[in-house]
Amino acid sequence: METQIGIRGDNFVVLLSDKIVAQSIVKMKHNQDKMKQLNKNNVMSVTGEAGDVDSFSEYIEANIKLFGLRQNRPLTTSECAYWTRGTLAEALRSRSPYNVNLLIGGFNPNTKKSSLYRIDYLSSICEVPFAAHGYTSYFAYSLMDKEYRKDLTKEEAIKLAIRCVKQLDHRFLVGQPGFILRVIDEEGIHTYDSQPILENGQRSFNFVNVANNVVVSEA
Amino acid sequence: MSITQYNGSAIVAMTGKNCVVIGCDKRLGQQALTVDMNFEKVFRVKDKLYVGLPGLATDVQTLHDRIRYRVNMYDLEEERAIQPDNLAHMISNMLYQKRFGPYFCEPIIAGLTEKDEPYIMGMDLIGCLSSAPDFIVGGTASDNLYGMCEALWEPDLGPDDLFRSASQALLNAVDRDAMSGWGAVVHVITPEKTETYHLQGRQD
Amino acid sequence: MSRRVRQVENAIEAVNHGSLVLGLKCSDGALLFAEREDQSKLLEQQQEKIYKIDKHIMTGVVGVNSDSNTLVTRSRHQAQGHLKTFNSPIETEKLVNYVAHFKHLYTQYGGMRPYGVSMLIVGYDEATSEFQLFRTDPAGNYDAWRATCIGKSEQVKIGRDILKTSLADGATLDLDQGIRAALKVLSKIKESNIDCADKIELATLKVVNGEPTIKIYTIPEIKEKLVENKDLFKKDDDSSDEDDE
Repeated sequence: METQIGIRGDNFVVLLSDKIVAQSIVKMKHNQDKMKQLNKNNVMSVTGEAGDVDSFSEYIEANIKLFGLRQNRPLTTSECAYWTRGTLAEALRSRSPYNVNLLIGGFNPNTKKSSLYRIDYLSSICEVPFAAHGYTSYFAYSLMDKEYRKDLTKEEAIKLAIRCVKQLDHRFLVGQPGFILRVIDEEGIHTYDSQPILENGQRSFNFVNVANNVVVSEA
Repeated sequence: MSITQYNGSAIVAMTGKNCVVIGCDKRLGQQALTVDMNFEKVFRVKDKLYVGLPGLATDVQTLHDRIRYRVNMYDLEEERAIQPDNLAHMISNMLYQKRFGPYFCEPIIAGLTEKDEPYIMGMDLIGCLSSAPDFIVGGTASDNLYGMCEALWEPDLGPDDLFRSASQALLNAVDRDAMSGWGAVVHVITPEKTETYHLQGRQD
Repeated sequence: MSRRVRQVENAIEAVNHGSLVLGLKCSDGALLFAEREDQSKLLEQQQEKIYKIDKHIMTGVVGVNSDSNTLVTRSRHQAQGHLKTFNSPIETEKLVNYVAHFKHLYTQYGGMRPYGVSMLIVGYDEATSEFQLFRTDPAGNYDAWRATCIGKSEQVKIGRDILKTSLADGATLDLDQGIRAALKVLSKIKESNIDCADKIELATLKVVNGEPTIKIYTIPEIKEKLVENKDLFKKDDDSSDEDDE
């Protein structure tokens, strides 16, 4: 029921997730940030079973920060992703597996390239240009398949994410009303919050940069 | 549905005259949903030695990591290149160690021996080895692959003809399997060199 | 109460009587050079000073052989473990840090004997595209060098002097010049003649087609290098500065 989307451009990654914490049919919280900043250039978005999400993502976040301190160099996106996969895979075959789905996106300041990794709860990992998890994937993948280009600009990628979200809102029975979007690029991590708007009587979303209030809309 | 069919895969290995071919499809799915179209399941172990890992993607990756670890250590400690039959028994042993909680993966080994004789070997998910003189197939498209290989394989094919037979078998097998496809990779291993070909295939 | 740890001092002393290992960073790679212990003519030839740890890291050891074997195996497992968990080759300093930590543990408790081994560890780091040379001692210290040697104190002194003059004013050598410098050290530390190929070990680390590549020289290859630099071994060679090109 949760929404999680990632889109990779040449030198940036866009990650988007919803803000709802739900228990059974009840929304318990409307402003939950489901992403963790692993270090300066890497973000992980996590969905899955409520308790697992917290304990797993906190464990990963803390350890990746620790590795950074130990070796005077932040981990690259690939290292973050593969270490996380290993941890999840080990837990999978233990008595306490974690039920979490992950997207890890980041920018490598050395190679000036970005990458996006998709890890599912079975801990199979793949490096992909765009990704989604859960029910969202049935709505978002078809749109991203059609619209994705290698040379997507940041604005175009955000607009593509907005289209996916709009589609979910329009067609998905349990679509969500609010989202957080992050762009990871050379300058760091930029956070956007969603703002619902009415467009010819139909709901759409603008995304507002929380640092400088710059608005990106689909139009 | 078995968990070995969750992600989808197709792998074929064929012997020829002083050469072997091993190939796989590129799809990674979650049941019917395709997630990645560039997910290779055949890995280089050494020059002239490859291993194909059809099955559950997470175990494919875990096994690949563990095989790489063991082979690199073998290289350093033994100071010689690992031979195909050594590798087969190493992997078989690795799988049987997890007899009662297995990796859902049925590895296929293809390579040339020290004397440049073709070697192929398959095994089940708990490491029971099974050899064949002609071809070994695995994955969700294995039934289709058996039929294709049975029709196309001939003894003593040269590298070019063997590549053609294996590629045709693979591409046509995955076209009738919903769980595998999205192009293929084929490695042609000869005493002189190993060539890797990426086949387009049907992209739907 | 004395602050000295006798066990560690003894171990360091043992290293100071071992045969020489020399490490040198060059412009196009890095090299390790070692002299084997004097051994019986009946002994089979074997590698005993320079070991490969991973595709991009190698080490030269001085001290107790059985101890160094353990450390080398441990290091190899550590390197492979890193490759497995991070899917990236281990950084040289990370490995050195591990080895030093491990050695240090054995200086901490009663009933344990420290590792009687010093190591030179040479590696290539993909992230920075740089070659590295580290030294570790039995106490668990480690430090980075441009060039250094470990082993018999008086030989180390001669070796470091020669390296210091070769690298004076920030000069850098390429691998061929580096090998020549190493052989020059060899020619000075004992009455070596040119037929000592079976008494030394030599290995280089280079980047070939973007891949770090370790080459451990065979005895015939070492012989070739000795012949190339045979002028160093002339008996009448007194003016040591002349052969510096």
